[in-house]
Amino acid sequence: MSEQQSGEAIVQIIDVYKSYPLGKMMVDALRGVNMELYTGEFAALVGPSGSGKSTLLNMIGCVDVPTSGTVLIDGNDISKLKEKELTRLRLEKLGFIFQSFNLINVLSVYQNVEMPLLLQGKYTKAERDKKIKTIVERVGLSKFIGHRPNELSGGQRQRVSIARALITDPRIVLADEPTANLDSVTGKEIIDLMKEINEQQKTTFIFSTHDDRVVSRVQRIIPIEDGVIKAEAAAH
Amino acid sequence: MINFSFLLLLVKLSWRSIWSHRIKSLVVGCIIFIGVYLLVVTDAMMSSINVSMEKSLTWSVTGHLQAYDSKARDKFTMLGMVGSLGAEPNVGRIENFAKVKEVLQSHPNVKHVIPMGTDYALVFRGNTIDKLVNTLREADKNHDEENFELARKKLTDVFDKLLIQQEYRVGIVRDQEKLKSEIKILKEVSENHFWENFSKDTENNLMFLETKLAPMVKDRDPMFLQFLATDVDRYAEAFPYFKLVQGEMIPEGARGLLVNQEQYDFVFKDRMARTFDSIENELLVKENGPIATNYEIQGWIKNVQVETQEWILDLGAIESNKIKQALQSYLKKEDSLENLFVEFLKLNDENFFERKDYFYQEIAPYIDLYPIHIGDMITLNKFGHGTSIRVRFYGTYTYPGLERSGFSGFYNLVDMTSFREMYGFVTPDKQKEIDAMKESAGIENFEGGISEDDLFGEGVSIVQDAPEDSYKAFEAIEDIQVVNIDERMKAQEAQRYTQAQIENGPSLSAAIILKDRSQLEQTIKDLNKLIAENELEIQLVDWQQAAGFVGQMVTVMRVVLYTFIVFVFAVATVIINNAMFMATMQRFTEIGTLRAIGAGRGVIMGMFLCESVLLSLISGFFGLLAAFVFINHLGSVGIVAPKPEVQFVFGGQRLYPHIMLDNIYLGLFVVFVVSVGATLYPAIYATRIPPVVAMNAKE
Repeated sequence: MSEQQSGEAIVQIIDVYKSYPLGKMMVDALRGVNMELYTGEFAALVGPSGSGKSTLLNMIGCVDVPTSGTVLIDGNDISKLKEKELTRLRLEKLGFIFQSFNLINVLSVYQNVEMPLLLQGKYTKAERDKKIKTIVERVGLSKFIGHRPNELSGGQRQRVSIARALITDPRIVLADEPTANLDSVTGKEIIDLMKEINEQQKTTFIFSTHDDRVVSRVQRIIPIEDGVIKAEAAAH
Repeated sequence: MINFSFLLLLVKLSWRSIWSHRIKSLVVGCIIFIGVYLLVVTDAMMSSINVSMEKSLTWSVTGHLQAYDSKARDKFTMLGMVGSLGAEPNVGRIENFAKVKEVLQSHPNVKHVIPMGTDYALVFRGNTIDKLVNTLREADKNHDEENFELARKKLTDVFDKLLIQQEYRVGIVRDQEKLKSEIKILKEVSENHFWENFSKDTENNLMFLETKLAPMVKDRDPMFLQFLATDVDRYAEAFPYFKLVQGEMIPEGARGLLVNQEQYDFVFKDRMARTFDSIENELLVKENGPIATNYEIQGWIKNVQVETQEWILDLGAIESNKIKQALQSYLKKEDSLENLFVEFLKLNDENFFERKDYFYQEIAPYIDLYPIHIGDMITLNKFGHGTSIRVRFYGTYTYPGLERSGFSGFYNLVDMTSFREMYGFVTPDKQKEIDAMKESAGIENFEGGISEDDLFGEGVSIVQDAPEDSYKAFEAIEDIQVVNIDERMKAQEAQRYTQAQIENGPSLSAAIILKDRSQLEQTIKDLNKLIAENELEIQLVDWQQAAGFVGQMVTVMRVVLYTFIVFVFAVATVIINNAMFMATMQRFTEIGTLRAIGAGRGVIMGMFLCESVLLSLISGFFGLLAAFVFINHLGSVGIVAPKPEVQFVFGGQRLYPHIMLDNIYLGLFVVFVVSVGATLYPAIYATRIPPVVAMNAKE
């Protein structure tokens, strides 16, 4: 648990196990994980490939459920939620930043960012327009708002991805290896941007990464190895 | 909540997806385009054919509805009737047409009710030797030596040919004794002394030729006449397609026959003349020339050459001579008539029109182009029965636009009274005869089983103890039989029947013409109610059922074509399904991402269906447009009936199809069902893509 925890626990992982079948064998990806994530934290799950960090991030992102144990997101036990409720939870409370940006190539920057708002269906066109323009400006892409992803650089695409993740004002933003496909300078810029947003808007960020540039910038490092969380080291 | 903006986004997503997967979209779009095009064109053609055929049928023979005996054993059809086990159909009869008419006509939508009956009759055409012997008799009576000699030569010629034929049959036919005696007779008449002594006992010799020689030659084929008996005047008023071509209408209320012009020209007309006509039609109307490359025409020419000998046999003696002279002058050589004809009939593209004109100008005047002529009294012999009637042949009629279709030439028109007589119903004339018998015999009733009592006395056995005056009945019958036939015929011909007499009697069916055809279904319901209320023992069939297999033709065509279309769409469904499935696989990450950022399964399903419906609507629209342009083009130029028989189905020589709203609805409906149906599985599959896929995506 971080010394810099500033609010209530928004994520609680209690004795979580996760096994996957691999051929005839069962592979234990998580073996009794316990952790908490607090509002406003800027944390990274760090570990080598196959350590279980992505599996843990998937649990937090409500795109996977534990074999046993409890995952509470903002007080909701995800094992007890129905498919529709999980979808709603992701839509309302979580934002995703993907390693490969996962933008919809046939839509413009504006439309990619607008997508979660349309799925929410609770804003008027004018409200959406205002929010989108604000966030796109925030990530520095106003000039490219009408462009399509394949007309943008990797860094710009990841900025669009960040804008899309933040547009719904989520409680937690999950970023799965966000700098893995970026060069070092761009990667640093992206991390700085996220850090800035975290500091200004108190949005909780959790990454899975083994990129030292990311690790050096996070507030809290959660080391994971062989499906078990090791003792945390205080970060910056 | 899915708002309008979201729908717009779905459409945009779909459109972008369609565009970014251009090849797939093009393939799917082309299939839908072809499917819709085929479906709409086929459906429009079928609808147009149905409308045209309905017109052809209802305005020529069937009317909108036909009423017939509710106790009929066989199903009533007007075209191609076949009874149980292929026998003559038993469609019962309407006992009192006038009553039926009165009831049916009370419905406000019924315009005409016309009595009808259909039957077959044979018209016998005599025999070549009989005809030549008549010429001999006439020439002898008029002391016309030239014609007598021509007829004698012609007869000798016929006998020579017969002798060759009969000698050939020796040892082949069963009755050799009869054959030998025939050969003996033929040899006898071939010898000169028969003709040298002919004038010594002309009448006996003529009788000898008629009784001994004529039976050796088979009669010319009888004409087969299918007729529609009706109230001809009312029929002409009620059926708009009816048009008199030659001669005149049967006088109001009189007996008479109107022959179908097409049957007259293409069935009854002399076969050599018919061949010239057919070739000309093939070359000029159908433009199926030249003769050099048209094997059908070449076949006709060969056939007519082969038939020349038989054709010459039918010619009169004087006529044979005149024709021979004409051919000799045309071909500038002397030869037998048969050889001259074979030479003349060597028709080709260079000589056809010249020889056809020569045939009609120089040869046709000496032949009987038609076996029956307008104004002739014709004896119609009921097919398969002994009864016959004699009626005057007043004229020919046609259904314009349907001239060459086999079905329109199906019937010849006969008056109701003649038909009833031939059919064995009691007509006013028959009633008169019966009354005459009753009066002469002093009996009151002459019907069925009771007549036995009237003839022989009540309770008296037929065999024993006949009453003294029983002979009177037989005398009465004899009296009627000896009435001069000619006088009777003349009286019968002069007889005019009142409308009440025409209608007060039985008919086989009643044709009903409606004022407003669109009310057909409702009118059938109303009429059935009227029929039940008035206890009429009749039932109704619509024009399609009344037309029998012809009426069902469109249904059969529809079934065949729609089976083909269903097959096309089944293939389309499989291809679209595969293409969409491939697209789903390609969009795995996109779908996973949408799921991860909060899109429900419904959204994913909507996305796929929207894409499919959009693509189908676009390609379907172009398919519709192409079909519309094509059908409109056909509607303005018309489709030529490929064969004369098809004219009936096309409602004339050309079919002018047009697109109706129903065709468009069907096209859109099928496109919608197929596109949604084909996309359903890929769409369901897409909704099952888990959001975790997005996390694992690698660029």
